[in-house]
Amino acid sequence: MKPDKDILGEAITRLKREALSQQVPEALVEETLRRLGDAGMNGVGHPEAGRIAIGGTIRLALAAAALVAVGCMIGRLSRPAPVNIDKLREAITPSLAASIEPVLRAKVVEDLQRRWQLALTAVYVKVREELTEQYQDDLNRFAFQTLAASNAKTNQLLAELLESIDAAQARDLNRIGRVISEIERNRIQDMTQLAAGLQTLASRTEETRQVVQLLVDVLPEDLDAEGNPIMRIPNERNEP
Amino acid sequence: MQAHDWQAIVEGYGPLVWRTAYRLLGNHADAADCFQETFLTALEISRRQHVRNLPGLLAHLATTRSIDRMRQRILQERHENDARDSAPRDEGADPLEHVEALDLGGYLRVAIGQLPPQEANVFCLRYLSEMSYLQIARELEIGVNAVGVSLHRAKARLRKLLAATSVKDEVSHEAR
Repeated sequence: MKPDKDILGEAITRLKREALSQQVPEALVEETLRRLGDAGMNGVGHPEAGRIAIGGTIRLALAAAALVAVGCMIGRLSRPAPVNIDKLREAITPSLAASIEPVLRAKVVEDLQRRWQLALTAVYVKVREELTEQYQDDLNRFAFQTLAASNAKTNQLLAELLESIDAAQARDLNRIGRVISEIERNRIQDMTQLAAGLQTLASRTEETRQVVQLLVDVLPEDLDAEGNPIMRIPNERNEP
Repeated sequence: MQAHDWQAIVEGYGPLVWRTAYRLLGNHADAADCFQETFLTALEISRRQHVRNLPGLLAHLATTRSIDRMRQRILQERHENDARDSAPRDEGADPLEHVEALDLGGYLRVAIGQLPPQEANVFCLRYLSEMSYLQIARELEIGVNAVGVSLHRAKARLRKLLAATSVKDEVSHEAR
């Protein structure tokens, strides 16, 4: 970056130095002053040019003043005679009235129509707003009443439902109690019967056991001819 | 309308206008045309409005006219080069002849002619006419910040253009 900056600085220096030695050519200054004089400058050192410029301006101003004066004279001479205002008014009033009346009538009718239309529109809008507001109020009141009635009915139905549920529960509890009592009674009865049966069975079992033992213990030779056991002393039997 | 002694003005500020025009154009004929146009335009402006800073106005006008004329000259040379390129080329002609004929100041002059008008004006008024930012802003009727921005952009573009021409220069030396 530095070499570029040096190049730019060097270029600027050379460009400035290049013009330092140049002097304005005298001919150019003279030519420029002449052209400025032609363009009508003030305060230029050439007196002839200044006089020429001032003389031209004065001649132009005099010509303009003469032209204005001639114009004023022509205007004064050619102006029309003064007008009688009353006659003119009388002359133009009927035609003016005839020409203006229909237009004014149409304008008034149009204006009235427009005003009526605006008023009717305003009334229509107002009535519509009032009706809408009333309708909304009625609707809100009806909705409120309906909601309150439905709430009361719902509460009543719920209360009845709860009562019926309670009654049904009570009936079911009574029924269950009775059934349980019946079951308990049957159980006690069955237990009693079972105990009696078991006692009977036990007594019968003891008799059977004694009979079986007796049968086991009795040999065929111990039986008599009719098959009845012969009663012996137990020790005798076991002797050789 | 202000009353000015234009003879004194031309004699007093003529060197300033001449240096400004000659720096940018580099030849007497174009600089002389710009010199006259500058003073005639200044006369017209002084008739229409009050001039607060006559030297600043003259420097501004001279710079603007010189840049315009330089731009016209560049365009004209470009057209001539295009016409020359479309014609059958002379075997002995050197394509870098035009570039070699310029020195560093000439490169800068050509590069200024390639800048956008406002950037070129701001650069010339700042570095060639040595006007302050405030004076430039008043003459060009822009803000001081805009002067700074234009100057920064102009310098960046000029560095780039000068770097490119220096590369061309080296290429031409190697070609020799």
